[in-house]
Parts: sequence; structure tokens; C-alpha cells
Amino acid sequence: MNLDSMRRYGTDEEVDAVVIGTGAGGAPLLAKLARAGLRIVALEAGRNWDPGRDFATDEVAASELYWLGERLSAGQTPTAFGGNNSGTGVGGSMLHWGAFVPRADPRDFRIHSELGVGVDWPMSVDDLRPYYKELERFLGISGPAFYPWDPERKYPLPPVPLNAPAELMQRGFRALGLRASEAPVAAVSSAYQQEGYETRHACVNRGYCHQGCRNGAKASMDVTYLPAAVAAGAEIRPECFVHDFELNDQGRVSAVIYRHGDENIRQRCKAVFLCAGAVETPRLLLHCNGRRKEGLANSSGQVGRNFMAHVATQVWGTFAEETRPNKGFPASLISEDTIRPAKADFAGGYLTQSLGIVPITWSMQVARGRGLWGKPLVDYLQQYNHVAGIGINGDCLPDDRNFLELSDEGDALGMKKARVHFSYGENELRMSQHAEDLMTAAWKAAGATDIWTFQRSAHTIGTCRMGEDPNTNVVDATGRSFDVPNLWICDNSVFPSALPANPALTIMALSLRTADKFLQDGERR
Amino acid sequence: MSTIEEIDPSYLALIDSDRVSAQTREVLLKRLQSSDEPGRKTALSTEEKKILQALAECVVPMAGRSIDFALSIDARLAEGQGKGWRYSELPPDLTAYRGALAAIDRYARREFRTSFAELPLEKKNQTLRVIESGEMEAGEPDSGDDVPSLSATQMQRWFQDLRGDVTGIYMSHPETLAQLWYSGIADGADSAALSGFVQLGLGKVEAWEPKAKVRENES
Ligand SMILES: Cc1cc2nc3c(=O)[nH]c(=O)nc-3n(C[C@H](O)[C@H](O)[C@H](O)COP(=O)(O)OP(=O)(O)OC[C@H]3O[C@@H](n4cnc5c(N)ncnc54)[C@H](O)[C@@H]3O)c2cc1C
Ligand code: SF4
Repeated sequence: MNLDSMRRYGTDEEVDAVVIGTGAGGAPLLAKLARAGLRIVALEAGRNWDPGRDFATDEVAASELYWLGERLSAGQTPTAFGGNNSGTGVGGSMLHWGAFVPRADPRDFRIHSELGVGVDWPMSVDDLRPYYKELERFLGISGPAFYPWDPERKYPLPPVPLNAPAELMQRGFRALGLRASEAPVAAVSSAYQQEGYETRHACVNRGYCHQGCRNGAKASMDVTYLPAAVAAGAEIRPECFVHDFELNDQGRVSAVIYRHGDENIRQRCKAVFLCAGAVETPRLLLHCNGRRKEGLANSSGQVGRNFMAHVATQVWGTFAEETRPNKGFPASLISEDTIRPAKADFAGGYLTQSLGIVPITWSMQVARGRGLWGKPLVDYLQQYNHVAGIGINGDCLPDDRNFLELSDEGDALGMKKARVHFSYGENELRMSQHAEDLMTAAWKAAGATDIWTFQRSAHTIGTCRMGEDPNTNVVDATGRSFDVPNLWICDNSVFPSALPANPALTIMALSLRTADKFLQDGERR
Repeated sequence: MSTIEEIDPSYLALIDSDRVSAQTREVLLKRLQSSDEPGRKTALSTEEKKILQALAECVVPMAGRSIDFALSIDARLAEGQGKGWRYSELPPDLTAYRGALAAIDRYARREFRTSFAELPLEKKNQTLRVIESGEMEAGEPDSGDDVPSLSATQMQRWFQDLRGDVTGIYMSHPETLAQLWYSGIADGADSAALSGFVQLGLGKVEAWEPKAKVRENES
């Protein structure tokens, strides 16, 4: 994005706030605080991009958008990082996100009250509804005229067209007596005048959303909240990696230390919003132990605990007609009938989506996950133009066995690499099996042959949980640290439970809400 | 190594057409011509690369063409750039690769009295099946050898990484894309209002879209 004429602040100037990370958590609050007149600086580890010029329509080239700092994956169902769930750059993981934007279901915020497992959120979906509406309008969400699971909901733009996998899922679900609908997606189905910015071009169905959208159709942060923030006077500093905090005698953060090139730079500030994502946020807090050996903001011992990842099981099949799964917005159909599915022997639920896919990602899933090699692998890869997928995003319960810790291995800066332990519990295993059975039946009904299941988990969630009790949570319900009063956390790490809904819309809603709470009273305390 | 001449001329024409952006054309052509750069840092020895190439050709056998998998993987290992994560139970990528290659060669010499790269295809595949089933006991490295030994489970995990690495290189190769008549590279010219795709849905093709390769093994 164009940063040429943005306002700049001195490092010696005590700015009102520093925001660390410019993804789903960082960008909306950056814009909101800048618009409220605050002097604010965002520090972003990744590069600044010009999508039209820089992004090739190529999966290998797109790996520049992935967070490639190495993480160690442990547990019985170790989760994959890098391209699977972690991005970097001005715009965060939202540069390469899939832009699938369901709202959270109210029942999932009360999963403990309802089903006696997991934990409740310290708020209700009603608290977030105004923010969901604001986001859907501002980002230009495309969706159906009638949303079967929430008839009140209105999307500003008509849906994006269905591609072959979506048509097939429609066929399969109809046969099973389940409802499906055009999905709410954060890609504009027609040209959209972005408030305070340029016109965003309509989605052209190129299917490379995960590799970065070239024409502004996808609502990544660099074409929505970040230009709004810059227009309102925020400064964004790319390629600045934060690795330390300075605390004053009152235990408040007085400066942030970051690495830019070969230099360590110190930025003075009155408040900090840590929005580095659910792996880098806890890693940074555990690394900056300062005076406390348990890490910063960690008197509860909960930093890094409760790591969660969505159950993201996929089913693939081959169809007689060409599917060309690269074409079209990849996930253009949704079903929420499985949020509390029939015949479930587990708590909670999942949503189901149709899956288009680009060829390299698909081939590597086949090689790693289907276990093929040799002639069977090559023969199957030749079927690419005839395959289609269907997949879920399933809730995941917090579990004591699942956590992030610092390993003994250092990175180039000498900061310890994160090790993440992740094992599905009984609930996740049963949910995945239920989904596999249902999706296999749908694919059979839709006419698929050579059906197989790919086990995967998606998204990085938890690790700095929000809640009422300072003994069992890292931040309060507004995102403010219980230990360090001018430190706020806002990203995927504050989620108390995973929710079946894909995370970004809810993270952005929390981001706007945290900004409001900060403006109402946070500044003065 | 495949060259420009070996690619279907009509797919080359597509790459050259204004439906493909300049950046995309550049990365595809560069990949097509990839050859070793003199003076490049290397991580693996010539012997290790030979074993690796033999392994890769078992993972992705190609009739009548070849890709220098060992070169690509060596370049990545020498740069020290991984994929953003690794199994905690495996050592860093380069150590894992070296340990696994040594173990496989040791196994081949012990079981078949010849180096892995010289084995007939059937014996190579047999060796891979032993790794895949988590039963390769690597044995102790020769004295003086600096590479660590991997356990049978570590070998199994590493084999998954190898399959992913090799398959990604294979699928991203322009000649493979040409064989599939993959249309996704041709999403529009360089203007911001890309042309993209209009004909979506089952069996629909754009007027310009290449006919997809006929499926060989109807199931
Ligand atoms: C391939 C893919 C597809 C996805 N699809 C969807 C989808 O369809 N729907 C959905 O809802 N969600 C999707 N997601 C998830 C969504 O993108 C994330 O949930 C969301 O972006 C997380 O927001 P965040 O603020 O927690 O972190 P991020 O968006 O990751 O932002 C964190 C930022 O902080 C920066 N950073 C980290 N450490 C430091 C440091 N020390 N100093 C300075 N900067 C730092 C990083 O570079 C990064 O830019 C997808 C993600 C991926 C990767
Ligand atoms: S499918 Fe649409 S949103 Fe996705 S990358 Fe293409 S133009 Fe952008």
C-alpha cells in the first residue's frame, strides 16, 4: 500500500499508542484510534507490498506472504504453521486469508453454560452484533439476500458466483436434506467505493485469494482499515520486529524496542496494543520476562496456555465433469446446519464449506496427507481438473495438554523459537469422524468417485485468554492486561474458545470494541 | 532437465500471452530454466544429492522427463529457509535430511549390498515402504560420520516432509502445469481490472481456456 505521504512521529516522542502487528487484530483499532485523533504508530515485522505489481499468480512466489520464522510442532496431532495459518506483511495474515466471514453463533459463546464443556465468553454475541454490522458494511461483504440461519442479516453486496465445488456441495447437501447457502465472503462482487480510499475492483474469480489478491477485491487490511488509518494520521513502520518492552516504576510499558535492519530502535509510548497473532504474541510475552521470570503479563501463568486450532477435516473426490477447482472464489458455499448437527456424539459443532484449491497446495496435501507416492501419486495428480473438495471448520475445546512454550533453540535474533503442543481430544476426534461421514455421504450423493479424507487443523487460537478472573485469564473482557495496565492484547490469542466460525470477522469485531473501551476509559486509568 | 523446447508450444504461447501477468511469466520462465548457479552455497555433498535425486524420482516417477529435485532442495537447505515449522521430534531440516539420506544408504548397503542410488526400482520402492511403515532401523552411523542417526519414527515423519517437498517442486514446474493444461496462471493482464474467469461451474470453460488434459485412468 502507498505509505509515501503518511504522517511520521519521532522515536523520542511519547506517542499515545504503539500497535504491534497490522492484521485482523491490529488494523481496525489502528484506524479507529487514529480517527479519534490519537498519535499512533504501528510496528509491523513484515514487508509493505504493492499487490498489483508484486503478487505473481503463483503459489511458490506467494510464500513471501507467509510467516516463515520456524516453529516447532509437537503433540499427537501437530498443527502446520507457515502457509497453513500464518502470514506476515503490512496487513498481517489477512493478505493471504480466505476471506470467509461467518459471524459467531450465539450458542458458541455460551458453550459451557449450554453443554458443560469449554468456557463461556465474557460477553455475548449481542455485544458484538453492532460491530459485525459495521464491519460487513465497511469491508463490503458479499452474501445472500436471505441467510437461512439468521434471517435478519443483510449483506451490502450480492453473493459471488458459485464455482464447481460449490455446485457439487449444493447437490450433495440437498440429497442429504441439509441446507446450504451462498457464503458470506469478504470479496466485493461488484466494484466498491471503499470509504476513505479508492474504488476496489470486483472479484474476478481467479481463485488465488490465499496467495494475495491482486486487484483489491478481497478485503485485506491494506485496502480497507490501513489506508483509513494512514489517512487519519497513523504511521505504519514495515520491517520492524518488536522484541522487548521497557517498563517504568509503576509497571507500565514506557517504550517498545524493535529491530529494523541491523538496528535496535526504541519508541516511547503511553500505551501498547499487542496484535502479533496467537503465536508471536505469547512468544514475545514469554521472551520479555524482564523482572518476572514467568514472562510479561503472566502472573496467571496462562500466557501460552489453551492453544487451539480448528478441526479442519476435508473430503476430496473426483467427478466425471471438469471442475477446474482453481476457478472462482474458493469457498463460495456454506452450511451452518452442522453447528449443532444431528446424531452428534460430541459437544459443539462445525460449519461446512465447499473448497476450490490451487494445484500446488492440493498436490502437497495429497502427498503428505493421502500418503501417495510413486505412480499412484502421479496418476492421481493428473486428475486435478476433475477434483473438488468439501471441508469443515470445527470448534476446538481448550485442553491442558495444548500450549505454547519457548524451546531451547534460538532464531537469528537469539529469541527462542516457539514450540506448540497440540493434540485433538476425544471431542475433536469424534467431531472429525462425524464430519468425515457426513461429507463422504454428500460427495457420494453428488457423484464423486475415489473419495478420501484429509486430516488437518487450521488457524492459531487461544494462548492469552480473555475473561473475568485474573487468576485464570491474561486479559479482561476489554482486552486489557490484568498485570500491565497500559498493555492491551487484541488478536486471535484472546479467544476463550475456538468457535466454529472462522476467526477473522470476530477478531476484527473485538478490535473495534477494544478501541471503543480504550477511548471510553482506558486512556485515563 | 526440461527446457523451453519440450513444453507444449500452445501452453508456452499462453504463458507469453497478455492473459498472463508480467510477474507470473517471469517466475514461470525462471523456474523452467532453473540450472545451478556457479558459486551457489550448497548444503549436501555430491553423493548425498545423488541419493536424494534417486529418492525423489521414486516419489514422483516421470516417464521421458526429469526435474533436478536435488538441486532445488539443496538450494533451500543451503539458504536455511524452511516452511515456517517442523515436527518438534525432528532435528533442523538440514540435519534431518542428512541423517535420513545416510540412514537410507546404510540400509541399502546392508540389505542389498549396494548403494541406494544404484538399486533397481523395485528395491528402491521396497526401501521406501520400509520407511513409510515406520520400520527402518537406521543402525549406527559409521565412525567418523558427523550425521546423527534418526529413529524409525523420525524417518517416517521425515518421509512425509520429503513427499511434500518433492511433490511441490513437481507440481509447480511449468511442464507439469502444461501437461494438466492448467488455466489458473492466465487470470488477466497487468491492468488492475483483471479479466479473470467468467465461466464458472461444472464443465464450463472459457472460450480461450485450453482443453484440460483427458483423464488417463477413469476410475
Ligand atoms: C491461508 C489462510 C487462510 C485463512 N482464511 C480465513 C478465512 O477464510 N476466514 C477467516 O475468518 N480467517 C481466515 N484465516 C485466519 C485469519 O487470517 C487470522 O485469524 C487473522 O488474520 C488473525 O489475526 P491476528 O491479528 O491474530 O494476526 P495476524 O493477522 O497474523 O497479524 C499479526 C501481524 O503481526 C506481525 N508480527 C508478529 N510478530 C511481530 C513482532 N514481534 N513485531 C512486529 N510485528 C509482528 C505479523 O507479521 C503479522 O503481520 C486464514 C489464515 C490463513 C493464513
Ligand atoms: S478470487 Fe476474487 S478475491 Fe480471491 S484473489 Fe481472486 S479477485 Fe481476489
